[in-house]
Amino acid sequence: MKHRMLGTLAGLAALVAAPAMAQNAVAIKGGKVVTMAGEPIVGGVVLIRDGKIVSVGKDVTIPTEYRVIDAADKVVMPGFVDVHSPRGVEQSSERNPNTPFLSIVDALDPSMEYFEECRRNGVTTIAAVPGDDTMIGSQAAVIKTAGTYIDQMVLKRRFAIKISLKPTPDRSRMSQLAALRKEFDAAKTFLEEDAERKTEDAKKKDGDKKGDAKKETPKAEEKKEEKKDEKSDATKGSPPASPVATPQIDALVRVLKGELKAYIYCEAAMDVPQALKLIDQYRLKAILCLGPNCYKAAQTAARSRLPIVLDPTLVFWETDPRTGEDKQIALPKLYKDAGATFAFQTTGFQGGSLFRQASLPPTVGTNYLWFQAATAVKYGLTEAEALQAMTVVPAKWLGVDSFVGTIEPGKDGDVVVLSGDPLKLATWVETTLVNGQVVYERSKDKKLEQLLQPKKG
Amino acid sequence: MFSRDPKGSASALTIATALLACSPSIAADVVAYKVGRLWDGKNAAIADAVLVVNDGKIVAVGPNKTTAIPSGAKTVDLSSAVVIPGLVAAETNLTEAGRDDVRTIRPDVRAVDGVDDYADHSKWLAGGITTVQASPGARRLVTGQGTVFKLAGEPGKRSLREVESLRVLLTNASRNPPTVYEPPVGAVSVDRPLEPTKKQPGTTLPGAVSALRGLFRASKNPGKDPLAAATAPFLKQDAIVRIAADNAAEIRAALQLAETEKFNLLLVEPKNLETFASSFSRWKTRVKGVLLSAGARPGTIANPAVPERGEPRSKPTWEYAKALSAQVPVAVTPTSDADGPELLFQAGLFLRGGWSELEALKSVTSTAAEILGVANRVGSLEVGKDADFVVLSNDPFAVSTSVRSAYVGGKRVFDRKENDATTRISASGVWTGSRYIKDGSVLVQGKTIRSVGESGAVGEGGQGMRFPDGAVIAPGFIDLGSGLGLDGPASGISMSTKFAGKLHGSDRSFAEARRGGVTTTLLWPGGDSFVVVAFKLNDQARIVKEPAAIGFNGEGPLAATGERLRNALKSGKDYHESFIKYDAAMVEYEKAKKDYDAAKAKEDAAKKPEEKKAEPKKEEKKEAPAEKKEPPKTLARGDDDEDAQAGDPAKQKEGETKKEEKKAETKSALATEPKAPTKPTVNDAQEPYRLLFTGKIPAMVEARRLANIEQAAKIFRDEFKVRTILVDADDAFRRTEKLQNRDLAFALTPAFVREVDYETINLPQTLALHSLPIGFQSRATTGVRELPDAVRYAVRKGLGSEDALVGLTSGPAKFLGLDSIGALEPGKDADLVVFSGPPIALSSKVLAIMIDGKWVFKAEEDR
Repeated sequence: MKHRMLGTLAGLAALVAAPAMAQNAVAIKGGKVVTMAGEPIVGGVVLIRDGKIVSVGKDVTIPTEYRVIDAADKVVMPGFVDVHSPRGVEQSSERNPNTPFLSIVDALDPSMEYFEECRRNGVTTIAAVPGDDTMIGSQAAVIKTAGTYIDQMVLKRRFAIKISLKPTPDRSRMSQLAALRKEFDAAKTFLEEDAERKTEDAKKKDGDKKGDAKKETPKAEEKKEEKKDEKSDATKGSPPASPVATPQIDALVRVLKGELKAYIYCEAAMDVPQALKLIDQYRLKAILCLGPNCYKAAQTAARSRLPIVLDPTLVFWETDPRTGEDKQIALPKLYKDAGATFAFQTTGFQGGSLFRQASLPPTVGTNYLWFQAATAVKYGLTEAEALQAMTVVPAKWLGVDSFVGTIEPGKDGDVVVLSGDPLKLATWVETTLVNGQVVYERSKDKKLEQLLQPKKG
Repeated sequence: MFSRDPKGSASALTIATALLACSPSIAADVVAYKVGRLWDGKNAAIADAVLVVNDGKIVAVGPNKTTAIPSGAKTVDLSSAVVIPGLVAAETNLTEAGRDDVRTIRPDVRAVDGVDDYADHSKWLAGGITTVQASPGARRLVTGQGTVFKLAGEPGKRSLREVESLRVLLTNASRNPPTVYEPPVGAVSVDRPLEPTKKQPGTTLPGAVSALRGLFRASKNPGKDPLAAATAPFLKQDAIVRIAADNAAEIRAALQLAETEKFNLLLVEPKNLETFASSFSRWKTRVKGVLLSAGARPGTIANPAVPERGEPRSKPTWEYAKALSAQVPVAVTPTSDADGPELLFQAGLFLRGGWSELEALKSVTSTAAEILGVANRVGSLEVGKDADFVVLSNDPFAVSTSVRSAYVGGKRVFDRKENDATTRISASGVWTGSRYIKDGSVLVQGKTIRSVGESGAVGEGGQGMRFPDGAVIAPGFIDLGSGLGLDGPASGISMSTKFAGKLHGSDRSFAEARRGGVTTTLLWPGGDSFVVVAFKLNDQARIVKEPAAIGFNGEGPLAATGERLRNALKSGKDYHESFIKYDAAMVEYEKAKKDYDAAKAKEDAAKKPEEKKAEPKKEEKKEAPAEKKEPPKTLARGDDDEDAQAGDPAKQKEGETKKEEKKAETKSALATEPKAPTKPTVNDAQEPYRLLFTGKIPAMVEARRLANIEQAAKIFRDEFKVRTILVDADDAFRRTEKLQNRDLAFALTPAFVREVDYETINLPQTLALHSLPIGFQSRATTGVRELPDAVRYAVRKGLGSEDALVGLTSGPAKFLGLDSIGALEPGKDADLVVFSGPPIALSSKVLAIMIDGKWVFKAEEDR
């Protein structure tokens, strides 16, 4: 699978880089290279060629054809990974409560300013996930944040589906769960019947199948999946008695098989045990997205050892309705104390664009992944843990840790050059590279310049 | 298990001891609750009981005498309380209420999915409810599967039965299901036309019954139908279908369905039971229980329907409870979720139907638990059951019973905190300052007294505090003159002294001084004239009134003293009157000013249109413009007014007399702008006189000799007519008649009983006999504590004890105008003294003293 993936990416990179051959080799001479795969290298050099990191180290000679990015006194980090981003689409939540057959890739718009913001803030990989308002939302994809066409950006087209335990307005939680179970039960029944049918089929045409498997060459994962679709479609036709997998059932069957993970959104603490029951009942591979109120169930969530995506609002105050006492709730601390592994999400550039909405504080806050990480450090996370929660941890959860998340030879050339120590307030992203291409330079960021210029008059 | 037969208690004992034997370390977690009266939910109450809890379970329960408490067990004293099992509400909507599913038949919806284990149910726990059944939905035919859970405890461990029963509503509530519109996914086309909404069954009772029959029949052989499959388990032998049925037709339909479809019926909230009253015995086969609600919402008033002509009046449900419970298990449920916390009150109403207290209690504890199938865990206080119990202030159905705390799994999950500041002080007697209450209580909330009365009549709540037999509660005593408060000699006090911030409550002499029962004192420095402050003997030395009086020295040679007093009062009166004059002048000025302003505004208003008009009408009024341009003040003149009226034809038509009047009025009002009177200079030393002459404070005049007493009375009472308290008044006994009916009061100093001219004079007694109000001064510092004893001596020598008590409390409070103290009445400051016996008896000791709601002295803690 890895080979296939690499093949596609190399191909894509070659396509993009074709007109400017000299630019496909970049050397970053860093003051400090935080590889996230071992100790930081002071005065390290990162060599990227054809979109891939070829060499990292202190005593690396830079071949003459490499374009050198001088990052002396600066910090070089792997591009950040956002594990749950419902943005980059016009409408994040489908109105139909039951759409596992849709793919968010079809709705992603690379020209949206959101992607620009991502690059400006060093986020190079995101999981594009549908919003929280659809019971069974569309399929999430893992994508890079740079590219002209969405197909260039996709790392994993079919990564997960989104399930929301927040009931749709006309429903209660009980109806929501009953409806969810009904859907999964239907898929389960189909899967069982399909398995029976397949064993029978396998007995019949044992020879044919072997030949098929041999023909399969390492190609892009998505291609393989498409092919599988065709295959299942083909087999659907042959025995007339067998059930027909509707796109709906097909998607849920993939979830039950574990081919697709499930993001499960819990709005309130009471949803957490229900999510765990669902996961247990249908053996889902799940990532929990927990709303602010879920902190009450932090212990329960942590015990499940599942990946947890915290609410964007990491710190808030609550008033005890009986005593009138104000209590500060710091999610990172609560979840850390409970022993959970978690990553962050951002509130996502509210108001469309930070440049258009001058009333919003544009350069700080929960819009930024590293602000989230820094907040977590303030409330008890170690710096190393916080940096991991922005890079390797989400990369691993998204199953793309062989491509992104660290600076290591063989990985994608997704590198961020920071003006100073990460998690510091005054640190800026100087340069962002995706697949070895410079996709953002602060010195050329006219919008940021305008924003930071003192207003005249 | 507590039991009357010795065998039962023996087994309880063995279990307890066995537990101890096998793991002695557990003993540390064992808690023994000593209970005043315990209702176990199945049997009659046991007085003086013990409830032993270990690890959330009951390990022993029974009378204190026969139940062994494991050694090492922590003991909790609840001997002044009553304990009952945690209440069980057999039907609630404590899930996500108000969000019904669109479809009216949803047997697959499970209430357990809507239960929030992280919710705070303090409101229900405050009513003593620890276990509830929760149903999904409220307005559909088959709303789904109920669940039973506890209202407190560790999240994830609260559930008692995930799936309890299938809930059906045959009542009006379900008769209006919405139509269903579920368009297929995708664009509308010829092949996929837009379909109309679909109607749902159950809009009438027959429709509902036939839909249910269809569902139940299909469930006999469910196949792949998810609804039938979800229904099937509830038609089995040990399962229950609960059907809400209101009127006779619905009840009959429910009974028939159960009969024909052969399921166990739990009838929910039937109301019109008249028709079935004679046939309850036939219900036994299919009806596994009936949930009755009182139909009354505590604290609200509803308009009952007027019975139809010829129809019998529909009786309240409790009228059937006794007959019904003889045949089938009957539980009482809250009328609505809003009244859920008042379940005990609602069950109490069923006593009217003939149920005993025990039967009523069972209906919300053990019977309800049995109906819900959770009796193995909750509903009664027996060995092996969960330690879910409620601590009440009194027996469960006594009128003013309140829940003090609730325990779930041995852990306290509710404690009445809001009344923590409330203390209920009870004793054999309460002397309020005017009357004596036998076996009374004082309810103190914060700094004030909330209620005083016979024990049990002062309302619920409060931390109880009961004093030993014979104890009497009295208001805190008042000392009309001591040297306390300034942390040193009481000197340098004049007419202009301000005491705020100067009084030292930290003065160690306070603690000594108040031990006798005096809680409020006046600072009496002595001198020609000075202000007197009244303050409490608590650590804050809280000022009650400042100034509380003006002190004068009326002693000395008659002529000089008389002149001095008259001069002081005269200048004070002048000062007071200068302010009165000023106030009167001010009132006059304000009135004049108001008139002037109004007239001026009117003039201005009249002027404006006049000016506008003036421009085009220039020829008509040639001489006018010069005047018009003058500032408005000069415009407000009579002749100008006439001009203005002349210019206004409408006004000219007005009656002649009115015009005349108006003219005169405006002329006089506007002739000159009135001047504000000058305010007299405020003189701090004279300020108290204003209070004196307005009657807000009295004068306290020290006079010993008869002549001085008479002179003081004459000057203060007759000449200057101020409220007067004669201080000391040693010779007042000589011509007491002359002091009568002159509105005089007396502040007496020790010794009250003296030998004068070979005669024993008891001055307080003499004055009291002449109906003259008296109070007492100690003129001491730490000796303030001796004042009550000095008064007791006067009582021994003939003073009436009632007069003595009044003189120490309500009497001086009244003639000093200290409204917040001196009596135990609702709204007054919580200053009280608890004596071991009658307050004036020689044998009485002070047991405790409270000032401003805080105990400042307790004999038992005194070392």
